[in-house]
Amino acid sequence: VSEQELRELRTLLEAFRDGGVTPEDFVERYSSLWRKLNDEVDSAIAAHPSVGPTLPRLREMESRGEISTDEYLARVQGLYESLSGVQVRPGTAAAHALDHVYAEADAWDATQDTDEPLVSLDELQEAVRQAIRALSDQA
Amino acid sequence: VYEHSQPANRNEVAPGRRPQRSSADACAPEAVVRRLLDLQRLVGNQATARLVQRKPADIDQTNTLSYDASGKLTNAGAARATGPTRTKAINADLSRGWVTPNEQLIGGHLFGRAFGGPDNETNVVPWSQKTEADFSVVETNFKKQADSDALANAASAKTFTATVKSQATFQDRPDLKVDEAALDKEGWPTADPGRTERIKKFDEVAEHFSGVPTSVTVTVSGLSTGAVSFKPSSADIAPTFARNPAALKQAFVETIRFKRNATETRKLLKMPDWATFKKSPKLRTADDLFINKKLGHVASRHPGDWGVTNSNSPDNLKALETKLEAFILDGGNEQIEGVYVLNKVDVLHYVNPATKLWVCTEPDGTLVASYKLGQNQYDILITKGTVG
Repeated sequence: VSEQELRELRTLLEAFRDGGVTPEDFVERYSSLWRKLNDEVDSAIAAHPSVGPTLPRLREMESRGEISTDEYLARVQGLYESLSGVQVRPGTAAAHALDHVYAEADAWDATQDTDEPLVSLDELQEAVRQAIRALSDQA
Repeated sequence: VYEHSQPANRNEVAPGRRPQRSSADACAPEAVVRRLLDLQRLVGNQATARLVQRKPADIDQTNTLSYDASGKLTNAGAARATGPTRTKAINADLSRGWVTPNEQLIGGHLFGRAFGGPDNETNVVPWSQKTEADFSVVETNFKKQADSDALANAASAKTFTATVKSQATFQDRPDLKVDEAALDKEGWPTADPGRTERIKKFDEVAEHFSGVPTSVTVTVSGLSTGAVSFKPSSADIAPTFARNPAALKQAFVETIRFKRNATETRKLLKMPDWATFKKSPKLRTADDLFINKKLGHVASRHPGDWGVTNSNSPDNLKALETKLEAFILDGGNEQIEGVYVLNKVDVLHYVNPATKLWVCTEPDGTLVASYKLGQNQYDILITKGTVG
């Protein structure tokens, strides 16, 4: 993912916030960009000599109770710090915020034409505003 | 053919009609109430509740079980709600500790969804599992009698109709709210920013629980054996719900549903018969269309994740359903009891740690969502039990 694509993502978030893009278009385009960001993280993890093999071991240790959940998160965060070439690092506020947008956009898209949509447009807008703030802070 | 009757409740206004009123009484309290009711009717309970905290409109509906001259029931099933119903919201409040006792409720259809009873607040009320079981017996029996009467009429080529009248009343729940004085009494610091949030949360709780009916009556008439009436006691409808005193305290932390390596039954609610669905569009039920829509969303938005095409063809969706079910049944994929998107829905997550493929269903197996998680989403899922 190039810096230009990250800028494109941010521009898209701002356009949706400002009403410059329809929700349907936003969901379509955002999903594609979010997927690229995550593919980039997966590739970086796979390419790294120690992160890829260590993550499953930490998961096992956490699952068996050998390390606490907080320790698991702290240790994976340390591993993510060593990844190179990723625009949005897992565990950061920006990653959390962008993930929220993705999940809410998917839920909105799946239920928006029903009597009781799972996620309202207001909620999706709020998630987008938070993501814009998180990306600004990251920059 | 299923038909909704015109509303019989004195507060109700027939669709398309508005009560005549002069401008002079527009500001009188009664006029305000009338206008709120109009608004509620126009945009629905959920939307109105965002503007004004109030209970749902009382239910007073008349529906029919209609049989043709061959004795066949002609009612068409109603579509299934896909969003966060009031019952789910109430159950979430209970399981998270805001209200006691934690006795989970069920959304009871006063007029069966299979007969066309809408899956919304004009027909569905949260009530106890006991009342749901009791009403199921009543419903089975009156349906059996109606079937029998319809067959008897069919012998002389006559149609048959049974009438089902459903009524429910609701009350606001100010006792479930909290105010500044209550928080003062619990020792909250005056400037604590959490005060507003806690008051807002209990406002939501009060709004949710105002949807628990205070009375319910379902009466079936037109049967050869005479009228059948179902009227559960208020104690049977639901226990007396009260604020959890611990939830008023500043230190209260809500219980979030989260269990790793869960052992709930692994299942996916599937299309009953794809061949019929494919060949006979007219025979598609509301449930069929619901399942088709859910699968269609996954196929169109995340086809690459599941190795299917971006197509809503029955063959493609059947292939997707097969893959999703195999994934759910595979014990190598962890089952996690948790919640989904803004903690709105209690779900079962299924996730593969290597591929990060994920399927999320309601506890009854209804598909909620599915895609390949990002690394960050995966970490949050296995440490907090939530996606979104």
